[in-house]
Amino acid sequence: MESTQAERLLSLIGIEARRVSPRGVTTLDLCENAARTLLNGLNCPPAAIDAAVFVTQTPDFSQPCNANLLHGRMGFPKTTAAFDVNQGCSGWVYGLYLASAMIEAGGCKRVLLLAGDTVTQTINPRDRSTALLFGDAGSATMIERTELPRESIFMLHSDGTGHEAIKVPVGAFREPFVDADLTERADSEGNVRRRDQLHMNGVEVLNFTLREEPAAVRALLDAAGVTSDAVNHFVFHQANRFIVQNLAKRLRLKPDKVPVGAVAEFGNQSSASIPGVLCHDLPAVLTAEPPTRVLASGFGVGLSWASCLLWLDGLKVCQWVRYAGSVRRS
Amino acid sequence: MKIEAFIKLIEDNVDGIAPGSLQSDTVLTSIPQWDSLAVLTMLAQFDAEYGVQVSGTEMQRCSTVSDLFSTVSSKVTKPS
Repeated sequence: MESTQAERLLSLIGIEARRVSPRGVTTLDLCENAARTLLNGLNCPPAAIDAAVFVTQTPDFSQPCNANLLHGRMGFPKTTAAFDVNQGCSGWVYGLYLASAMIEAGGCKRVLLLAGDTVTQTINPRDRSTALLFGDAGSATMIERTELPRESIFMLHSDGTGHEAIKVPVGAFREPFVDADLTERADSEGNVRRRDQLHMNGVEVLNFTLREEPAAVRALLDAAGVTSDAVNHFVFHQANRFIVQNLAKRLRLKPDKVPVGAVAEFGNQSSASIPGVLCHDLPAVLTAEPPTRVLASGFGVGLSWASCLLWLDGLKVCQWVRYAGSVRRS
Repeated sequence: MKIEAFIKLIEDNVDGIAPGSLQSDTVLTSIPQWDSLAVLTMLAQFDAEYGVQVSGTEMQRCSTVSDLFSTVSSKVTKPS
């Protein structure tokens, strides 16, 4: 990419650095690191985990699932339920909803939610539409039953007619590797990729986001019977600074309520992006005692989007940890 | 919706386009700064300014600034 075009891109997307996992390090490794840090910080033994829900689109294997692999590594008891959720940028909210529903149904007291991806391993470095946008990350969130009067509201959405907008066409069962043409090809704009690498149509994704996200946030606020003034922080999936700031503008949100620090430092981290904001931009507020009202909203591949309104207070652990061996690229 | 304001919106938001340099018959591909970044920037502006979305296919069909103006203005909901 010419240097002036690269400068303009960086100025638009606001991504100053990304973290790249070296070959041989997977989402499972990143999430296990996060989970161990979390459980140690909470003094929570593995035996106390009733379920492990692992949100990822970059699992170690097509089978067995990452949740089962993590179960083995962490020494969870045989009574711990474990399953994966195949979602991307909306995935943390989807996973949080599932964990909450499982607890509310009465079967679980503690659910460990893992969410993350190594998207950089799916991208062609000569694809200018994706190469500079993504960073790798894994996250771990503990969801625990409480008797405190705290209401969480979730809204989950899908539009499968938009499935072509973000896709890895080859490598599963619709078009297996053995049948596929894996030649590197340039598209009409000169972006080079193979068919087993991530394809993203920037125009369609932008239009989808501007079409659906503002309406989804307004619907959630209406359902809660509040205006945006009642929300302390709007945590959007950090696709890039341009889109997050456009969403803030459309929704007339005060800029200081809409963090964009995580995207600047880490890029688009897929389903780990929202927890990335909580741990990078908001730890002081979230570990303090007074409850903070957070609206979190993820949107992307599927097409899929999900939003939630939460009360968060006195989190005992809310931190970012570097995985040894990860590479910072700026 | 006037084409002069539309042209100014493009000139103000795409880096490097000099004010007054665009005409209604300017061919989009002849503008050096009219790349995929400019397209994304303007799609967001059309949404913010006019409440209008333009698809990738519709963008590709626009040859001149005037074509783009017609596409956008035809989608603007007329006030009742």
